[in-house]
Amino acid sequence: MGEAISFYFLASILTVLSIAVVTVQKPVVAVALLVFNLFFLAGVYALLGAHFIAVIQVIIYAGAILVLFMFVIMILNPDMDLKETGDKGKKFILFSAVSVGFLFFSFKMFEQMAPLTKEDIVSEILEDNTYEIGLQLFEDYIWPFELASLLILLGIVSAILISRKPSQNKSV
Amino acid sequence: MVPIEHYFILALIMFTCGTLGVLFRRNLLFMLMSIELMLNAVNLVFVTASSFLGDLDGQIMVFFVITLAACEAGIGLAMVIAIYRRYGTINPDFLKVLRG
Amino acid sequence: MDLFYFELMAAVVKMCVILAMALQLPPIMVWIERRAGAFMQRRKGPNRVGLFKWRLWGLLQSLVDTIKLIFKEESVPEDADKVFFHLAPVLSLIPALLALSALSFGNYIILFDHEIPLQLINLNVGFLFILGISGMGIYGIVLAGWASSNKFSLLGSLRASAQMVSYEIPMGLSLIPIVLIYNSLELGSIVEAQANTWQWGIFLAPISFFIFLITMFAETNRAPFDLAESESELIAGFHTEFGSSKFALFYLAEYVNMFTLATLCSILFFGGWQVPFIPHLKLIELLGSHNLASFIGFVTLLLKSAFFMWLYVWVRWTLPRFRYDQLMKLGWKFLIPLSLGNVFVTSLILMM
Repeated sequence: MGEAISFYFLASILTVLSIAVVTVQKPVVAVALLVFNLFFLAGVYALLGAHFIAVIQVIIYAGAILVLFMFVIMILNPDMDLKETGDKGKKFILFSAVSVGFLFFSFKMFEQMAPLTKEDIVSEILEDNTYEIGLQLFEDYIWPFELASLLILLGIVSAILISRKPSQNKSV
Repeated sequence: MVPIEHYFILALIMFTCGTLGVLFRRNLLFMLMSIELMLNAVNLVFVTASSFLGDLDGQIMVFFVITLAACEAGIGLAMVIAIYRRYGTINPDFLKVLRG
Repeated sequence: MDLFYFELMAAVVKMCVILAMALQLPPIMVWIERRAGAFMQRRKGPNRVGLFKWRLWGLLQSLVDTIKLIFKEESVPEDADKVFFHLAPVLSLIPALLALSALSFGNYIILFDHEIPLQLINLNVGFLFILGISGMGIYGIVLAGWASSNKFSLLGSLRASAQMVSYEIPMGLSLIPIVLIYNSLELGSIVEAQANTWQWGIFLAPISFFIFLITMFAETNRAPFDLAESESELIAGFHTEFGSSKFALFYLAEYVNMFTLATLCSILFFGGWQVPFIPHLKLIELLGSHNLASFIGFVTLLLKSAFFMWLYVWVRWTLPRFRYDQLMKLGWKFLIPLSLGNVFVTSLILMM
């Protein structure tokens, strides 16, 4: 009962926030709303028993990635060209096409999914799984893990390379 | 107990918002944020499936998705800064050097 | 159902106690800071305000200051983003208070045949939660600087966010050896593992303590890392435009963050609620009472974190401020490689 109340509360907030993030005018407001969105999503993860993922979400997503967004918005002029360009009619057609497509796919998905819900679901949600995640991550997934660290390294180097000012002396 | 479909519907709503944001906002920052929203919807599906099926693989996948998102955000924002420096705008409609 | 209500009531009482503790911090700390600063600079400091004819070493100064702060006129800059200007102090206070809830203040006490742990929420992710939540405090600072539409504030908040993001990495990395040594993320079991005084974190992982101490100062934006609010360059940085009770909220958030990190430091490296040289189980035997032993443990923890609060004040009035490039160099080129090496060496030793 408590779980259901918390879930529907969080879900309604998340729905409103997700819509607001993409419709709001100012980038700063959007980032702030996205922070709340990710924070409440971490709440949903905690509700699902994934405490470790919830905390990782708060530390990395809300605490680091979105700070980067904030940072960039403040470095750039915050009120720059906010005008929306493009053809209104074309956009409307695209919008309805995407919405209809998503409705169609969601119905298809639930049709396909129906047998799964009955049989395979375990009754109790896994709790206290930080230890198991660590074990699996470093035993079964050790190579993907190493590759992910390489990816991060690549990301750091390329971000610096892309964003730095072109240097004055041409020798570099 | 909340049925699994409701979690998926929530993820679907978030994913749709993200897709529409990428398609309609003419601002690179908003587009990046919408991509984050989409990735989060995917994460929600992973975590839901993982905890309903009692299998931790989904949560580990979220771990990798977050890693990917960090890289994507870093490089994407670096590109936004570079583009703003070069062209003075971050509206993708004005960035058509490659369009010929 | 009876048990449920009992636990609910216990949780509410614990919340009230923690909140009261948090609210008491700034007045006392401000007084200590001003007096200590005065003595270190051979001044008198605030010593006048007292009750009737007793001066009480100026102890009531902070009370008077608080009343003044609350009744001051609030000014909002004309160009300010109104919503975020009002929201920012709250956004910086809430994560600070939330982080307090995961701290383990003591062993459990027994009331009416029920065990009540002296910890509001016991998560199996433990101090990761505290790190994550206190990382959320950045947004209060950033939005404060942005919303007040003032160049100095914006610069201050940019500095603060860059500093906090970069110092979060060595802080997190410095705690990995602790997890490796004590085999747990939960604060309660880490404290229990430190029963023997020679097994405290400071003796088993001294480099971690060194790194954590430095990042502790940087994360709370305190001197010598107070570049975000350096009054000589940025005229107080992100809270230039904030007056009256909004400023008080920022102040409260800063002191609560300091207290959280000081307590975390004493839990992870100084045995938490273990009395030095007397393991908790032995203390229970000696006193013959569970509750009394837990209370003494609680007081011990408070004394330990009081020492670190004093260290904050001490360092602030002793060391000069860093330059910004020095700060970044220290963080990225010294602390992060050092903490990575620390993790490597610690795990190598534990493997053998």
